[in-house]
Amino acid sequence: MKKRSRMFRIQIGWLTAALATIVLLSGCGSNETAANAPSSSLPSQDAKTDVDKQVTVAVAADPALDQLDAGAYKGAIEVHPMVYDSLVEYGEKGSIVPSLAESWDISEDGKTYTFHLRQGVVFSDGTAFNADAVKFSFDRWIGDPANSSLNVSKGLKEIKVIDEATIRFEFGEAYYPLLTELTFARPVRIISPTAVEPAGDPKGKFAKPIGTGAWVVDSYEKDQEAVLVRNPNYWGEAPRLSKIILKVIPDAQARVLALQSGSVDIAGGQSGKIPAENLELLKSDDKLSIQRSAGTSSHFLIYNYDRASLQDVNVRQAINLAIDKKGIVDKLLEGAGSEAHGLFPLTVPYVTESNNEWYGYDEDRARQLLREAGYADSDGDGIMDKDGKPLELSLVLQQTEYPEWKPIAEYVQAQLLKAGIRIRLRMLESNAYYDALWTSREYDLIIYRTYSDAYNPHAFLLSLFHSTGDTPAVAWSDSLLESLIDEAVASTDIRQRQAKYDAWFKRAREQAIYAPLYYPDDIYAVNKRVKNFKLGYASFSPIVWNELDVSK
Amino acid sequence: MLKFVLRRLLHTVPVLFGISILSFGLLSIAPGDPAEILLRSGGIQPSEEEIVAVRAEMGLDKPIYVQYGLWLWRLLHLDLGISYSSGRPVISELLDRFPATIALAASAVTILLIIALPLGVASAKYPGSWIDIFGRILTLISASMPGFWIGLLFIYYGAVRLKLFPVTGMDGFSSVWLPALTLGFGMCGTYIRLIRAGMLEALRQSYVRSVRARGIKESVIVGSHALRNAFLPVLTLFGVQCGHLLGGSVVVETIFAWPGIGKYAIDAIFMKDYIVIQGYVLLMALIVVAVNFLVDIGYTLLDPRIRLGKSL
Repeated sequence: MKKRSRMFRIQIGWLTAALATIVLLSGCGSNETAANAPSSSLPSQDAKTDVDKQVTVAVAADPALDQLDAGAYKGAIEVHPMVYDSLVEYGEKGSIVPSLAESWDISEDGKTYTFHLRQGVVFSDGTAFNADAVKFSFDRWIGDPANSSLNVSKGLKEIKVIDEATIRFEFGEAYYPLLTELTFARPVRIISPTAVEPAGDPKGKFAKPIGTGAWVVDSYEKDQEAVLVRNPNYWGEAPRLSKIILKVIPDAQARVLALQSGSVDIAGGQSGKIPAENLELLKSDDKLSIQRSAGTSSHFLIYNYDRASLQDVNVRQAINLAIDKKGIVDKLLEGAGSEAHGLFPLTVPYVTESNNEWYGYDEDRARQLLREAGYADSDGDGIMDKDGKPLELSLVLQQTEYPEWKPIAEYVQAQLLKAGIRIRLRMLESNAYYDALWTSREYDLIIYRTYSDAYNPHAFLLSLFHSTGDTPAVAWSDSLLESLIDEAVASTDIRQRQAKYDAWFKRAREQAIYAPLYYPDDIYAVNKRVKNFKLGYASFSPIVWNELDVSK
Repeated sequence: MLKFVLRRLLHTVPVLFGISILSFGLLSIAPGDPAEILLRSGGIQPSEEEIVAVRAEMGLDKPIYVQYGLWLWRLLHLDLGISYSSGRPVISELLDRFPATIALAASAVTILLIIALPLGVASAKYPGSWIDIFGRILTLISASMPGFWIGLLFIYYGAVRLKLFPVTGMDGFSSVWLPALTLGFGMCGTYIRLIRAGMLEALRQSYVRSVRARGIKESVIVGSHALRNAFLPVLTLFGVQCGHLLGGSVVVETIFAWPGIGKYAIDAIFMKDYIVIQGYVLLMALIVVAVNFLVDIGYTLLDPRIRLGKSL
C-alpha cells in the first residue's frame, strides 16, 4: 500500500514536470504579449488619440510594396491607386471621372485625345506634376509587347506635350474603351520622374514609389505588414485617417479570428476573401458589421461548341432552364450574391434591365426541349438518350481559386440529372484547368467567371467570344456576335454602341450560348469602430480609403 | 573521422544533382506555362504576344536542357537565379525566410521534447498506469487531429478568447509559441510511443538487471542507462522528419502567417517558378543530408557499439 502511494507520487511528479514546463513556456509568452498588447494586438487602443487615426486591413498575400512601380504589374493591385493617380478614374457603372486630368477633348474620328491637366499638383516628394511627368510615365512602358493587350499601348502613335498643362495622345484607330483603360490600376498611372534612377530617364530603374495619390508607403516588412500614411502634399481633400496598415494573413479562417480578436479592422473583398460559411458567425459578433455590394463579375458555364449535342440550341436552352440559379445563391452562397440574369450584372456598363434577361428555372420545359431535340429516356434509366447514346457531359472545374465551385458544380450536376442529363465532374489543378479552358478545350461544360469592373464588357467579350489571329473564339464562335463586338468597340457614338451591345446580348440569349449561374457580392467584415465605410466602383480600388474614419 | 565527413559530403553531390534533374524534369511535364501563369495572376487572360514576350524575358523560350544548364552554370557561381514571379534573387529570398523557419522548428522541437520525453519515459516505467493511459490518449489526439484545426483552436483560445498571444504574424518572442505548439503537438504522439517502446525494450535488457543488482539508483538506470538506448530510434525518426519539420509546415505557416520557407515553396509550385523550386530543393536536400549526418554522429555518441562497429 505504501509502495503504491509512493509510486503515485512519482507519477504525479512526471506529469507535473511535463505540464509545468508547458505552462512556464506559455507563461513567458503571455508576459511578453501583455507588455506589447496596446501596440500590437489591439490597434483600437492607439486610435483613441486623435493624432493617430489608423485602421488595420487583412490581406491574403504579401503586398510587395518595395516593387510598387506604377508602370509594372507588381505590388498589390489595390495599393497602386492609393499611391498613384491616373488622368481619369473609374466611377459608378464605368463612368469616367476627372482626376489628374480636369477635362479632355476627343476628336471627331475618335483617334485624338487631348487632356487638360490639373494645375498646382505636386508629387509626394515635392516634384511638380506636369505634362512632362505624364509623358515620362507613359514612355516607360508604352509599346512594350508585354502590354499588347492594352489598346492604349498597342494603338498609340504619339504622345505630344502641348504645354505644361496640356498633353495629346494620337491613336491609330478609334477604340472607345481607351479612357476606361486609362482608369486601370496599372500601368497607366502617373509616377514621378524622380522615382527612377537616373531620375527622369524613361529607361531608368524603379527606385521608390512616388506618386500624387493620397497615400505614401511608409514602411514595408515582407510577408508581415505594410504601412501607408497620408500624403501631406495630396491635391484633393485630405484623408481622415492618418495611417492604414496592411497585415498579411494568408489563411481565411485566421482572418476571421483576427477580426474577432480585434487585431484587424477590415477583411474581405478580393484581396482577403471571407468564406461564405463564416458569414453567420461574423454577423452574430456585435463588434463587427458585414458590408456587401453587388460586384461586377459573374460566374457561368461555358459550352464547348465543338460537341455535337451542344450544337443543338434546344439542349443549350434546356441546360439553362434545368438549373435553379436562385437555389445556388440561397443554399450554397448563404445569400452572398444574386441569381444571374445574363452574362454580366447590372453594375457593368451597357448592361440594362432590358438587355439583361435570361431563362428562368423550369424543369418541365427543360425536359420538353430535350424531347423536341429528339431525346427520350428509352431504357428507363433516367438519362435522356438519342440514337442509343445517353446525354452525358463533362463539367470541368478547379478549386484552388474558387473553392465554392465544387458544391456549386455538384448542385448543377444533381439538377441536370433530374432533367435527364448526366454530368461527370472533372476537378482539375488550377494550371491544368486553365490549359483546358484556353488551350486544349477538353471539356463539354466548364465553369468560369467574367473579369471584373473595368474589363467589362468589351475586354471580356473580346477575349472569350472573339477570335484572336488564327485561334477561334474560346467560349463560343459566332461570326455575327464577333462583328457586333468589333462594331461596338470602334463606335464613337454612345447610342450606337449601346445598340450594338443590346443586339449582342439579344442574340446570345436566343442562341443560349452559355449558362449564367450567379453574380457574387463583394463582402467585407468591418469593425464597428470604423466609420464611413464605402465600397469603391472598381475591384482594384475596393474601398473609398480617403473617406474612412474611426470613432474615438 | 575527417575522411568519413568528406566521403559523406561527396555522396551528397550526385544526390543533389539527381534531385535537381528530377524536379526540373517533372515540372516541365506538369501542366501550365510559367509565363502564362505569371501574366494571368492579374486575373486576365494574356494575349499571345504578351506570353511570347514574357517567355523570352524569362528565358523559357530555350529548350529545357539549356535552361537547366544555365541554372547549373549560375549555381557554380553560387547564384540561385532570379525568381520569375517576384523578380527577386532566390538566394536572398530563401535566406530571409530561413531564420523564421529555424526559430519555428527549434521551438517546435523543444515543445515536442518537453511533452514527449517525460510522458514516454514515465509510461514505460509504469505501463498500464494512469499516466500511460494519459500518454495514449494524448498520442491519439495528436495523431488524429489535423494541424489546421489544432492551429485554429489554439488561435481561438489563446489569442481571441484569452488574448495571451498575437493572432498571427511574427511579432516578437511570444508569437512563436502558438505555431510551435501546433507543430510540436502534431508530432508528439509518434515520439511518445517511440520513446515508450524503446524504454520498455531497454528496461527488459539484461544490463539493466545487472546494474539494478549492483544497487545503482533507479533514476540513474532510467535516465541514463536505458534512455540512451531508447533514444536511438527517436534520433533516426528525427533525421527522417527534419525535412518535413523545416519545409513541410506549410499549413502551420499559412494559418499563423509565419514567414517561413514552406509556404514560399508551395507558392512557387503553384506559380511553376522553376528557379525558386530548384533553389528550395537544393537547400532542403542540403539540410536533410546535413541533419542525417549529425544524426549519424549522434548515434556514435549514444551507442559506443556503432562507434566501434569495425572492431566488433
